[in-house]
Parts: sequence; C-alpha cells; structure tokens
Amino acid sequence: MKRISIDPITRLEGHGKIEIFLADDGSVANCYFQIPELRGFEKFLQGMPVEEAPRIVARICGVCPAAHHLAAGKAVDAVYGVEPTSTAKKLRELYYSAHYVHSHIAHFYALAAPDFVLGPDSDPAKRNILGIVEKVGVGIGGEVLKHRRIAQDIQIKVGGKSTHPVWSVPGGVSKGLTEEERKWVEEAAASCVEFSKFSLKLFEDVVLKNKAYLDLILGDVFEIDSYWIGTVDAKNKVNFYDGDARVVDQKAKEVFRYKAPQYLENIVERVEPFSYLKFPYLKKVGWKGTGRSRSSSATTGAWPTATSRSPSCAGSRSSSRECRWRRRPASSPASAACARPPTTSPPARRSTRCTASSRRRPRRSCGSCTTRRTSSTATSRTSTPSPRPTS
Amino acid sequence: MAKLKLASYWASACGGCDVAILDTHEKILDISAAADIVLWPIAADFKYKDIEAMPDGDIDVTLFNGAVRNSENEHLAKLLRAKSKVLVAFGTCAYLGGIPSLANLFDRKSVFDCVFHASPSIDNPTKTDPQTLTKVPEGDLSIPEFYDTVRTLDQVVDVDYYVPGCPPAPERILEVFTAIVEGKLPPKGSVVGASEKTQCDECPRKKNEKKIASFKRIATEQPADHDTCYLEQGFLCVGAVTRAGCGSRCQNSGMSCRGCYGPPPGVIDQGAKALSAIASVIESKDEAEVERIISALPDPLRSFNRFGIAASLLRRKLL
Repeated sequence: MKRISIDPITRLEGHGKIEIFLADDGSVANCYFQIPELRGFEKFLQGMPVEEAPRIVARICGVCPAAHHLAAGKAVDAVYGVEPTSTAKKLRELYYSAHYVHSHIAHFYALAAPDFVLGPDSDPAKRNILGIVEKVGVGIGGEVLKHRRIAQDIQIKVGGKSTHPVWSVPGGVSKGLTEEERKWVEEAAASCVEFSKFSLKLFEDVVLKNKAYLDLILGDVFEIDSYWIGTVDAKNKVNFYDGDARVVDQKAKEVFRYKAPQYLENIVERVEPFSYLKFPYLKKVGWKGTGRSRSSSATTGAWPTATSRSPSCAGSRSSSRECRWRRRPASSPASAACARPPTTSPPARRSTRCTASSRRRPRRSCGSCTTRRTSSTATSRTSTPSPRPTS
Repeated sequence: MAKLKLASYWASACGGCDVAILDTHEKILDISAAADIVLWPIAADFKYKDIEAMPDGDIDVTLFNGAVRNSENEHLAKLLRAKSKVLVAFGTCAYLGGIPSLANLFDRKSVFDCVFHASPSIDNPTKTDPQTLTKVPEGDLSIPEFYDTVRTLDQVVDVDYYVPGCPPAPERILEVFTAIVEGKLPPKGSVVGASEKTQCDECPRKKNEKKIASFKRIATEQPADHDTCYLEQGFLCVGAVTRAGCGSRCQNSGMSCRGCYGPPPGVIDQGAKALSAIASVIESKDEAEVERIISALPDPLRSFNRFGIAASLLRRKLL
C-alpha cells in the first residue's frame, strides 16, 4: 500500500506527523495522526510545592503559556480555597485577552494564512510569514508584526512577562497595574481592535471572496463531526478566563455544561499505541472510537482550564482551517468525521488537512480530527499535587 | 555577500524559544534580509527529508532549542550537527536540560505509569502504552523511543555556542544574530546572548546584608516590601547564582529569580552553588535551629536546580 508521510507537520506548535495510506485506486484508505513527543509534566510535577505549578506548566506550550499558567493558577486558588480579588480576576482576564490577541495574530498570519494569502500551491520555501510580508508588502506586514508586538507588550505591562508568565499566585497576582500603565493598555487595545477589523476584511477579501477557497472550506475536507466545548459566561458569551464549559453538538445545540471542578466527571482520556498524545472524549457520550461519524470527541473553543499542549495548540492551526471556519450550509448533510476530499480538489495537495479515511469501511479515522480536540487534564488536575502543609 | 542559511529546530521543547524569535517583532525582517531560513517547523514548511538531502555543512547556523528526550531528538541533533557549520544550543532546555529534565528524577516506566495509567482522567482498559512500532492493517507506524534520561544538546553532539534563557530574551537574540552576521562570535564554547554578571548584580531591588531567620512561601505570604531583595525578606531567590541577561523579567513581574539563565561564569553547578549561597545566609549557628529554618524550604533539589538537572553534577536520580 502506498503511503505518504508528512513529517514533521509544520506551522503549528508542537510535534506531529501524519501517515496517509493510499488504496490501489489512489484514494485514501486510512490516515494516522501521530504525536511523537512526550515530556511527562503529570509525573515530574509530583512532589513540587503546589504554588509552583503555574510557573512550571506554562512550559507545556510556549505559544499559549498564558492558558496553562492561568489554568493552573485557578486550580491552585482552589487548592488553597481562596477566591482572587475582583481586581486580580480582571487583571488575569486582561492578561489572557492580550495573550489571545497575540496568539491569534500569530495563528492567522504566521500559521494559517500562508495557505491562503500565498496559496496552497505556492513554493513551500515561501509559504510562511516572511513570504506573506514579501507578498503584501512591508506596510501591511509591518502592521501585523506591530500589533503582535503590542499584544505581547500589553502582557508584559500587565503581568511583567509574556513567555513564560510567573505572575499568578494563590488568590491573585504578584504585580498590579498603575493608572499610567492602564491608560497605555487602553490605547494599545484600541489599536488592536482596529487591526482586527482590518484582518477580518483581509480574510473576507482573500478567502471568502475566492470561490476556490470557499468551495474547499465548505466542502467535506473541512468537515468535522464533533462536539464542541467553549467557556461561556452566564449569557453564553465566550469568556476566555472563566465560566462554564458548554458542550454543544454538531448542530450547535447545547448538550450539557459543567464547571471546572467537574472536569473528571466529563472528560476521559484513552491511550492508543501509535501516539504519545492521549485521546480525550466526553464521558457522558462515551468512547466511540476515532473514526465514527458521531464521535464523542469534542473540540475546545475557550477553556483555559482544559487545554493541554498538543491538542489545543496543534488544533489552533488546524481547528481554524478545518473546524472554526467551517460554516455548514443548511442544505449540506452532515458527513463523516473524516471525509474524502472532493474529487475536484487536487490530490494530497495539502495533506495536513483531514483528508482521511475512505468511506468504504469502518475505520480508524485521521487523528487530526480526533486528537486535536478536548484536551487532557494535565493542567487542571495532575499539575496540582496535594498541597503540603504550609510553613 | 551571500545570504546566510539559518535553521531553527525544536527538540523536547515548548515552542517558547521560537516565539522568542518571533518576539524580535519588526526586527525579524532584518533577520530575513540577512538570512534564508531553511528549517523552522513552527513557521515554515520544510521537512526532515529536505535537511537530509543537504550536503554536510550546508547550513551556516542552526539554533537548536529543546532538550534531547527521545530518539527523534537525538537523530535530529546528529543530523543538524552534520549539516551545520555552527550549532547553537538555543535556550535553556538545549543548554542545560530545562524544565523537561525535571523528569530525570524519574524513569520512563514511572512517567508512563503516571501519564498513561494512573492519571485520574485515564480510561485504559487494555493497559496500553505507546509503542515505538505499531502494526496497523495498512502498514507499520512508528514513534520515537522515549528515553529514561533527558540530556542536554552537548551531551549528544558537539556544540559551538550556548544561548541561555527560558526563553532567551528577544533583545539578546538580536545581539546574537548581529554577532553572527558580522562574524563577531566569541571563541567556540562561549555562552552568548547573556551577561557575565549575576542576576543579583542587575536586580533593581535594594540589597542589604542578608540574614534569614525563616523562609516563607509565596503561596501563603507576600513580600511586605516591593523594593527590597526577596531573599532578605525570606523568599527563595536564586538570582545570586544565576547568570544575568534576561532584563530582570521575573522581578518586574513581582517574582523572585527562578534561575532560568543558568549558572554565572565560573560556576559548575548552579544547584550546588544555590545550596551553598542559601546556607551562608541562615541566621543561626545552632544546628537544630538551622534545621528548622532550612526545613521550611520545600523541594530544595528542584527549587535550586529547576532548569538544569540534566546539566547538573547530579544529572539524574539513580535508576
């Protein structure tokens, strides 16, 4: 059986590879997404002072350290039974929001956009952020770099450090914000909002107005038949720092919701021999394998307490490409989790897409759909060993 | 002048070193003007086969971040050593082992038992462990071998320069890059992109004579004085045994030095030096009292040696 190896997967945080097996007729027989790395935070955190966990687990991911830092920070608050002050909560949320801006600029322009702005058939040597700057010009490219800088600088202003933060302490934060700094942040944030509007317009012009891209996005290739989880406030608005984890089904209908301490009642992880990454799924739905059309796997939106490195970060690129941009037309039937690419799309052109299993037989589907979903418990549970008696 | 060929690779790492390169912000355009990037998994689409196809010594400079945790990391370290004129251990994981080398207090089996079996979220009825080779109906699937011991880059291959930091400060990265472009790198084996002083020397906080009568934990107490040395106030700080160069990032965050820039010049073992430094400021000559004071410091091994167990004289716990 012919195989195509994508090794390493690029333009994402973390290590991954994809093995695609082709049947005799050239169609995809099966596809495996593998994570070749493991560091074992769950183990080496054991025996450490629990208040150090936020400063250690930030190193799970250098692209989204704020998520891990604050998730563990909240867990440590709970261990000590302390509620952060209102000011501290706002500062943490502000920090995370700035992180979100930096991370999404990096994601959109450096990780995902090269496929669209330069095109999937462009020279791989140019298909990156520097190629984008070359194509769109230093003017626009400079704005991209400038606003990513501003977002990082907001984090530095608020929390002292962007990668890796050290600032969350039980019940609060270790540094406040002066009025002068607050004013600077306010102006900087306003500039980021304007830049975001520009980015949305760019997305509309370059992607949504391009029929070939739109067909690709709306086609089976980008289809993921997954549950979705996002952290929401009381009004079901997304909140990146706190709230309920809200689980919705494939039609965006709420199935259930839970709070962070109920994590273990809701999320379970499977182990497969071909990957160091675990396979999380929704406990209430049950394990249905990796290739079913109604997988119990769920894709996280915003849920800082439940992000682990590889799923969320690997997903940050692919989920946008494969999941979040997906807007299924009302008339389009739900399709299998991993659908064969439409025959009109060039074969195996960008194999990092989820162009997985053939529909002819039940199979283990492409892990890139399933493993990049609900994340492990690393930060919310096992990173917080039992507290020692305090001195 | 021909453009340099530059590679950046991550082994057992978090991506923070690569983000630090991106954090040179607009200056990254200067880097790209002087150098062609030939490998950078986080941001560019080159594959391992592209590197394997290069003649030896074809890459001018490789910035190698991450520790050597598994057989793939080792393979890439050897491959990139062969393909690179200059190999830089970039960031504290490659330089000293970093946070991943905290796992050297354990072995593969105990890590697997915890991660894949004992974790409270695990459902593993078949007691499966990841395997280096898995046979599936379509063929064989492989993943790297997870070693018992995390190693630094220079415990695996010859290293030309070391850039400390978790992650390296972006302004220091630019200094290093400028030195590379201008051909002004110091003698081989040097630590670059950092200071020759200690973090204590550069810390903005006021320092008086240190006499510690009791240690406090940041979890339960906070420094009463935000302008005075943390250690003097009883909070563990390893700035006295850490190389400067970060710009006092943690102190600016209201936190004591964690030690991520590694030992200052002349210090062989950062953790041992920290032990010695802490012992010298205990305010008692009475053995029982000293014991009482010291016992308030939880987990001294990992607190003193947080970023460098692989490079320490200890290296790992006995297997």
